[in-house]
Amino acid sequence: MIFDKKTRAKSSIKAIIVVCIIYAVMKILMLPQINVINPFYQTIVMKICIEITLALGLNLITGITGQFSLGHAGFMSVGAYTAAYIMLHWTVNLATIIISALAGGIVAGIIAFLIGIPTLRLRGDYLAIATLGFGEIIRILIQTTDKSFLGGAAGLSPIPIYSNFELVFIMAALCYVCINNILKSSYGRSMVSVREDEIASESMGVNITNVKLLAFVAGTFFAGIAGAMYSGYVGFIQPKDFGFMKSIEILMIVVLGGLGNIKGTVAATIILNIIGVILQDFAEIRMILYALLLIIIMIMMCGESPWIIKMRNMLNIKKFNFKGRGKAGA
Amino acid sequence: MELFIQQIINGISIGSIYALIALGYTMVYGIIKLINFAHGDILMIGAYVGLYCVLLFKLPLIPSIIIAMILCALLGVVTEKVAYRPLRNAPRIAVLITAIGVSFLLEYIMVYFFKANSRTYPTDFFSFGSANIAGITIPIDKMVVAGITIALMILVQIIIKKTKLGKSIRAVSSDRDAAQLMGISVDRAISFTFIIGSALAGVAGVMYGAMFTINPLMGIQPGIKAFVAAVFGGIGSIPGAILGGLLLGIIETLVSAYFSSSIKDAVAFAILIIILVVRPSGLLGKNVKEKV
Amino acid sequence: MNVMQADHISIVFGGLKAVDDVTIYAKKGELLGLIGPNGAGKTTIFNMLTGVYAPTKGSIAFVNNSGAEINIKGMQPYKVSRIGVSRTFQNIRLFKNLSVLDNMLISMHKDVGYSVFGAIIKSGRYLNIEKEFYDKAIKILQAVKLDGKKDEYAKNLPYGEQRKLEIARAIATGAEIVFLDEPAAGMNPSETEELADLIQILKNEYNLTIVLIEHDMKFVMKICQRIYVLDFGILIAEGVPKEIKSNPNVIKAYLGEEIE
Repeated sequence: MIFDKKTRAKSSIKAIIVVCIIYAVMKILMLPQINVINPFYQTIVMKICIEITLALGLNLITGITGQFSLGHAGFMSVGAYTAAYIMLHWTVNLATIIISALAGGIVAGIIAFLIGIPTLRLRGDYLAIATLGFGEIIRILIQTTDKSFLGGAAGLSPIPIYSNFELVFIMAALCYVCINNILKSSYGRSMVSVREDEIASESMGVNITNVKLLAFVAGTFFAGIAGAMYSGYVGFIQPKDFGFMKSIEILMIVVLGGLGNIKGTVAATIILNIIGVILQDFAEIRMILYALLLIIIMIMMCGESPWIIKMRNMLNIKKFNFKGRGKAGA
Repeated sequence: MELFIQQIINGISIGSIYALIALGYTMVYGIIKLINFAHGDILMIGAYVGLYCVLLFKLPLIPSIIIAMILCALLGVVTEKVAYRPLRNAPRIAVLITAIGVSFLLEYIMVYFFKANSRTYPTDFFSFGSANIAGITIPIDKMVVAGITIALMILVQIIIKKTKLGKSIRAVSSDRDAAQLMGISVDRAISFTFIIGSALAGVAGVMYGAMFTINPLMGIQPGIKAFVAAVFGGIGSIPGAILGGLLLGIIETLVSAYFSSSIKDAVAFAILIIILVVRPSGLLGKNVKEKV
Repeated sequence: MNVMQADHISIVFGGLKAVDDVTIYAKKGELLGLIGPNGAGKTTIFNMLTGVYAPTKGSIAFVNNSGAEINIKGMQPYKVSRIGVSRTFQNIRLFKNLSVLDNMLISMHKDVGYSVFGAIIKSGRYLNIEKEFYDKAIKILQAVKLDGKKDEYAKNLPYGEQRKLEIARAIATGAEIVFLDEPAAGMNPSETEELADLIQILKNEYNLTIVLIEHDMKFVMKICQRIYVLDFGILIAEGVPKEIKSNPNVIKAYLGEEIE
């Protein structure tokens, strides 16, 4: 725990140094003379940064606060469309990029707030279905918009390609730091307490509705920003990019990395993308592999049969307690 | 007026397919509290089985349906044994995620073997012309769908209410531990639930495939719709699933006939959310509160 | 001065009247007992007093240290907790996968004085308040002798210590009145004795009013100043331990009636 300004300064400097080192290493690897990360891999690296931001946001909602959301892609699309619309009408410079990204995050956050008030009362699988429904409604509504406004089913293009490695990297790093610090605060603890036991945390004076809303809005805010960066990364967006499948893909990252584990989310995003590159010509096999991973991980971590327990002990895996793991802010 | 009646009939026919799928959802939810995401994909497999029955063996409708039922029932039992049974006492969300995994697995195995492109049944497989009743033209295939559905539903009701196995399913649904103590084989009751649910999905698959086109991802939409129907009627309740399916089908067709077909899915989801928020127990379900 | 006054409260579940026209009150600094056979409605009364259930009929009011009377009927549990009413649960509801310390800190979240933004940038306020929370939590943990285990997961504590942690957590909310639901359940005689002393110490140190449900009569008779007896949702007796012991209605409720 940090209580004084000296340790705070130390830990901040450490964090900044770590971020700078990662950045420098990436940059050196991208140099044309070295060319370990060639232009093709650079796009993958950017994709990883965007997905890290998306997945961290979902982890805050689902892993840390325990509110199952299957509509994350819908909120991403809100950010993506907001930013794309702004950038199609304004000139592109650093200021407008930042404004459009923030606008994307804020609009997504506002919509999440409005959706969250009625739905966050729902528990577990019901919430999952309600958010899935909202995600789909957002997609369908964008689909039915006028062609001159948001492009309808045909999508929006050409959006200026304004995202670059620096922007998405800083976004992912900031997102990580924000969520990490929230976790180490009373807000983070209250979120974990809601996941652990709603009735107990309510009796201890935690306003669970507010806590859920906070996590939901913060998580979708990051989804919105990631969406904004996605628009400037692909240059062409259409409603069907943000369907239910996309939400599941993000969920998959969060689950594979460990619900509530933000380092795991980063690692899982990188690993899944590496698998994706290796299997880029075999999209179906990749999806089959992902699906199998999902099933096997769930069975290994939550299963109760004797042979599973034996395997778990043999491989020294800790049983995954869904309603929470680890200390808040440890 | 004629248009309206035709739309209602269209609604009933698509609605009865939703009801067939919703029955599987609702029974599985009732017994193991799982939203079986892979249920829609069982329907997809059923549609492919039906297609190959027609293409390879030139079988007519009823034998194709029966083969699809058998194979889907097998598939349902296998997925339950392999993927869900190890998680019997795990948190519901863990099983839900596993079900999503199973769903993806089935979809992409099919994409791998049968490619992603859409296919159709031969046109003569499912066309019976149309009848003229009181000046209104009614396509007979729509009536066949509704007829098969009603017959199956009566059959399911009889199984659930009158047979020993049905009784064991109801017992396990209401209290698994107590049922076990009374000597009921919980595993058998659950397997049997999956057999019934998946067989119904198989039937629905053949009819849905024959009415529309089929591809490996075709199960997602009707799957989610049927889930909406199940929640609408009150998840866990069998009459609720039937009522929810029919209502959803009718609402959907009316919305696309009188407003726009592009928002019909949005309307379905809006109904889902309103029901979840206002009356989570659905039209015919009962309310359960957590004990402190 | 009465800190808690519940007048003629009743609650109906479906057709069942679980609590029928019960009037109870607690004076400042009192240690009250609520006893009765299983299913008498004791926990239901606790649930009404802490806002988990709203009574069908009747009124419940608390008077806080500054003398204001607050009617809590229909108030949400977190609001009830914020006016100084806290509780433990019959079936222990700790945050099992969190550390002992985090369990304590969550009770103080309602007093969090920094914003989310402050948490992200770790503002000066954040540092001060986190330090304040930490010190307060440690102080209470010391009182229940759990400060040495502050980093252990709550689920790894022995049963008796889990009960104590739950009491400590309830006090950490800054409560003025604490409801303990079977605090001695599952404890052996020596643990129970220790708990009795601990409750007295905590009550005096934190200036608490305590209401407890308990089946261990020796324990109740030893520490409670006044006792309410409940049977089938109806209050059948009230008085000091001595009176309760010899009350014929109470004996009847617990032992049944002899058939002549």
